Amino acid sequence: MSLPYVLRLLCISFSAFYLIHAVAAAGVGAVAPMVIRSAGGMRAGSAARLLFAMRMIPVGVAGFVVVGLCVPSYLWLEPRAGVEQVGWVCIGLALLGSSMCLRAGGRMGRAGLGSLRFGRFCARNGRVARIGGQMVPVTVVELKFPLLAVVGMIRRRLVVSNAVLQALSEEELDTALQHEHAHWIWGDNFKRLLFLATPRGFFLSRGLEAMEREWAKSVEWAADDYAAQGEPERAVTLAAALVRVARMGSGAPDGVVLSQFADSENLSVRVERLLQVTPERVTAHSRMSAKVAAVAALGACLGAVLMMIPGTLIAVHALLERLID
Amino acid sequence: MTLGSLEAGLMKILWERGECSVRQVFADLERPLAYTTVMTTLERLFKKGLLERRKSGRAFFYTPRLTRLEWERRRAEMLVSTFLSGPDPSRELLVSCLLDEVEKYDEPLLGELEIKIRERRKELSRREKP
Repeated sequence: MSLPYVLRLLCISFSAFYLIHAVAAAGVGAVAPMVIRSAGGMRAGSAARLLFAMRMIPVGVAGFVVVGLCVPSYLWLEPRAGVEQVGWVCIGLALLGSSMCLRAGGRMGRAGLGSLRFGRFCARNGRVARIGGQMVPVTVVELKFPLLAVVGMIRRRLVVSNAVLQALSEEELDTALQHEHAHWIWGDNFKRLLFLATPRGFFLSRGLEAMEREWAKSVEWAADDYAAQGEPERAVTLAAALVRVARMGSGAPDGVVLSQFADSENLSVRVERLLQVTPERVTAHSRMSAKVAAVAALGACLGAVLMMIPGTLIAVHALLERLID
Repeated sequence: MTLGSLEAGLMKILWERGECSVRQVFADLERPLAYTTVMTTLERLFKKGLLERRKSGRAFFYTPRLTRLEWERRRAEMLVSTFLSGPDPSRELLVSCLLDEVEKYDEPLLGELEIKIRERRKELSRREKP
């Protein structure tokens, strides 16, 4: 395989990725307001799953078409000895696509390194403890300001500052840790990493980023529901824990803002929501998650069938020929 | 705020001995250094707010403002705040927090929410009683 052959493959892959992603992002972005509205009427967990799936569609489709169709068709049908020239349009699109992927890689690298450092810091400066009936060990760090979080993605840690330990009652701490446990079992930090892998900051990304913000809100609500377990008393206890932790914010050093999503309005919405919890049966999986899983499975089957039809790869190659010119 | 190796060495001496003059710190040094280097470094630590000093005759006597434990805690908090501060750190750091924003919430809002929580608790306890 010669260098020009590989370079052409890279050029085609990145330009195809950019084009397909742009089309898919435009499509998903156009329906984003409708999706957000529908998610508003769903259970928080279902809304979070729907928003996550929709947010990942553009990058998922673009990735599948490039890796599953463009690359195989090029390797199968493109003559290795050819000296085909690559057009300026294709080069331009490839540059845009590669810069988009490089920026996503940079964001993921920064996030991974940051969380690794933060996790190491917590491990060095904290002590591991089993608190109450918690399934996972908790790392307690000596800090005057409130910190209660799941840190990291692969080597995850449930970190709590001793300020929080001292301020919350046993029941409040239990519900607060259950909230974090929900993030732990759902792998929310991994989902955050996947979001970082998606291109952002381009002209079609506004709707997608709005869905991401809604996901962040829904996932907090879903974790609140998980911790409340449909019991009004537990919900009130969690609400009290939230307000107590918010009160402790005055002890935080300047500049400690953990996220932009939970402003005062969000805090009161979360508390009001928890105060309205009524007894109900908690179901582990909703109909929505089954629907999302079914659609994903159908998409995967369709993709596999497409890949197996020789005519598909021939058609894709013809399109790539037009792109390269 | 971070300390260089020389600064950390001088702080260690002061934490162990308590109040010291420049000469006493100089005498306790493990590695040979110029007297003026020690003087300048102590001056710098004073300006950073880590030391207090008083003048006795022509000499300055330095005392740490914080105990070693207090300093280590403060350093830990500064490190955490550096990790967590930024435009969009929770996603970039892959951190899921109980309360995403640890800001100074306004007192009336928190008071109002606490009243609602108390009322809801009363309502629930009334329901439990036959």
